Amino acid sequence: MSIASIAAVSATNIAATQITRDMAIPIQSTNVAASDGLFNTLLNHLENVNTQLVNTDNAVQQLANGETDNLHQVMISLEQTRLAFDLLLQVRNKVLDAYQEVMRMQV
Amino acid sequence: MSMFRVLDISSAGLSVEQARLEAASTNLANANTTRTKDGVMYQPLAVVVSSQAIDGTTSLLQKPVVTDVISTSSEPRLVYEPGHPDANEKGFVTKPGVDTLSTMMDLMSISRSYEANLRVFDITRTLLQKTLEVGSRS
Repeated sequence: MSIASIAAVSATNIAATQITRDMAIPIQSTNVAASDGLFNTLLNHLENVNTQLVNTDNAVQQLANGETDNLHQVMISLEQTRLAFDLLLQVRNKVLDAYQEVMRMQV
Repeated sequence: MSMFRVLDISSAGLSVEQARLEAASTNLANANTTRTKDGVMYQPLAVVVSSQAIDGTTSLLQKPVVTDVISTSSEPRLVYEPGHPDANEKGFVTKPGVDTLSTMMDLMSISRSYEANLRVFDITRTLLQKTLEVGSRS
């Protein structure tokens, strides 16, 4: 690699950083009632996951009664519910972490 | 949820393969059927699959659906079995034109396609699971 090409590479790097700086969006406080909205969203999500759990429970019950046409749909809905529940769990963990972080704050 | 769209597509693929498997098993099981309830000869079944746009999307993503199960018009086999109640005056019984060899090949292809769809499902699930682990590895 010649010196000229190295110079070219560093030039593009500098250009790239400038672009990122230009593209950085200024943070605006648009939503004051953000916490309220967040908890409502969480509650909605919780309800959705609960509905999914109930549906999957019904599907498994139908499978046990021999009323199901295909096995794969039951398995797929089981996996979907597990993923949705995992997502809920992760969100809950993160919210709880944030809460504890705030509680540990020195006043 | 749009993140489950791939799972829906795989599920549709699995349903189609299941329908094909049912048709193939019916054909093999009825390879020696000489009369049906309607009085006509049994004709091998075939599955018609078409693609359908996924609900709520305008994209090119499409999932397969079984549109119809049709009976094909394949050439019947003539087997010499005098004394058979369904034999004609020369002693020949007409049996359905089920091609056992090609049906076995169909079974292989069904099995592979089903496995492929299951694999897609597994990979999607693993990726989603990995995504949920973002930030938990400290």
